[in-house]
Amino acid sequence: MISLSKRVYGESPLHLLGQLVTLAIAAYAFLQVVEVASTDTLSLVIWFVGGALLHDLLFVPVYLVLDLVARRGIRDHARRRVRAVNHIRFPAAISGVMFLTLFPLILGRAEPNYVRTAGLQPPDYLGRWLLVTAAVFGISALAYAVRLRRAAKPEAPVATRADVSAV
Amino acid sequence: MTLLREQPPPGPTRDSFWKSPVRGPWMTAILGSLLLPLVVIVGFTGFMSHAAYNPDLGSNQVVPREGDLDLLLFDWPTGPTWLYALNQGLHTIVGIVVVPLILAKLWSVFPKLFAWPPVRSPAQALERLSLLLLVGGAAFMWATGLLNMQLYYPWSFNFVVAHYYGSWVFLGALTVHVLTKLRVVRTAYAERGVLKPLMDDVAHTVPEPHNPNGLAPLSPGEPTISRRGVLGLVGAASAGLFLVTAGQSIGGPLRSIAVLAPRGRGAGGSDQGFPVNKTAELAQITPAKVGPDYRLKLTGAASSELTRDQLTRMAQHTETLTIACVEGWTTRQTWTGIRLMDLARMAGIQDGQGMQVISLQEKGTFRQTTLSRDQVMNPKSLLALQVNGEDLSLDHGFPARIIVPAQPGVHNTKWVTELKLVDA
Ligand code: HEM
Repeated sequence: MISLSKRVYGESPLHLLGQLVTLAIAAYAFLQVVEVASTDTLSLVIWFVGGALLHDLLFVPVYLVLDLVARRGIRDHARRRVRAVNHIRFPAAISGVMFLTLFPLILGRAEPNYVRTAGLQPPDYLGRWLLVTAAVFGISALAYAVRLRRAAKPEAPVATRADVSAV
Repeated sequence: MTLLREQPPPGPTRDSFWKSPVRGPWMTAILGSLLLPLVVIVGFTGFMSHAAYNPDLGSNQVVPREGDLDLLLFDWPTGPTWLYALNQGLHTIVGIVVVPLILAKLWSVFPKLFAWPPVRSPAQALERLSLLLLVGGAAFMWATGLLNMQLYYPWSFNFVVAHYYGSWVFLGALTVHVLTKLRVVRTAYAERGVLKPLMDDVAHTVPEPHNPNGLAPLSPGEPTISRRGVLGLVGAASAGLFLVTAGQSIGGPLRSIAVLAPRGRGAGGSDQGFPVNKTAELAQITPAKVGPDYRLKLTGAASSELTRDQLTRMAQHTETLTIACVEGWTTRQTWTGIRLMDLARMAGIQDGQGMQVISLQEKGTFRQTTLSRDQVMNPKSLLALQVNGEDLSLDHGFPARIIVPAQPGVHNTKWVTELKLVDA
């Protein structure tokens, strides 16, 4: 039975049951939401599928290419063993994920709503995010400088390994 | 078909396209293992928040139910007073800081999107469909949750309903996903050790061995970051998010550095020093409605009408209680007013009765709520007239508002005009 299932279906019967459970729950949940009068089904589907598409076809390709450019474009110090690219990756990840997560606030997309519900003007979130971004890149630069200095000292770990300057 | 199988087109469908030397089953296993408990916390607190609204009472329900899922419901407790603050703090803070981890998990499996041939067997076709539900579900849950927290609603469906049922889709797909992948996780840990790969620095980072259709690269590039470096990168991004947002829930010194939270630094109190989440203007409460003609109607076996003067002459009690918003922010203030218990007794509360609270606000989902008997009879539950020793401002609910320990902030109805004993 199991070997038949492996040959025809490609996995064990348990796998099939698991997938069917997932699909059935999803179909049930979808119908519950569609039944609600205020639901625009098209909007719902766009939001559900759109997130995955946006992630797979835009976000990931963009950051993979940026990372490639950073890796190719940034040369490490000839003799000191510090990977410069990571000093870009860290602050870029911190600031970038912050923007991705909090962009409506940062770009003031909901400002009218904010004023109406909270009864006050929102602070300058864009300015704050830029300052945070400047701070994390600044700290990273500082850390890079410190590590370079350390690596220059004679007692620093041997910097003669073949793979060091190759990256 | 066989031709396709033998010769994937050039590009991401070829194994040789993917070069990251740290991608591989172990990397995915550790990212998944870190992700799982955090997602469980977010899911659990989400369902708890649903229960906290006591949707089985009166017209409390926002998500339409057919009555078949009542098993999941219970009377939400009235203590400790910070219970709902803790629940929503966890839901929103963990939900925010887990974002980098989800992105990293998806990065680690990204080559699988281009697996060649696209469909190898019926099993794989079905699994790819459920993976669309998993990835789409994750994107949907996090996008709607995060945007809602920022008061941004660029969609045409009810957020609460869609976020609730979206969680079914996501958590259902995730459960099956984790069960399906357990074997990969176990094998990876057995072969490489659970934490051992974290010992290696960049120079000692060796790619995991390649298998056809596997995640480890066929022709890896030179390592530029160690595996612990990848986790460090994720941790740094999470820590950054925590620092700029968590203070709006946790308070204390963290509040002053919560610079990117909707109710963080400098965004707290327009009025009486703490946040307003529905202004009188928005609720269309005019000064005339709360003037000398204002009466509080008490409806029950013994109905009556009280002026605000009469209310101030009743026995007053003071309690320090937290308001915690479903969106994650909290504020703890000292409230003075009449015990709901006293008002309920005055109206002749009987066994099996709770209290419906009705606001002067004429439209809107939360113009009324129904409180459970426990909530009404809790000695800390107040019809507050004052906060921190001053009369409530109009935006904070003058002439009188409800404050009940541990319940969702939006159920602490403002501008109360009627308290009605109802079966609950
Ligand atoms: C937000 C939640 C998650 C999402 C969106 C997600 C998404 C994915 C996707 C798209 C794949 C590729 C599957 C394929 O095409 O073969 C995958 C594989 C995998 N996931 Fe997840 N996942 C999640 C959570 C988890 C968790 C919590 C675990 C761990 C317990 C986990 C462990 C794995 C493993 C072991 C693989 C297989 C790697 C391999 O084939 O070598 N995932 N995941």
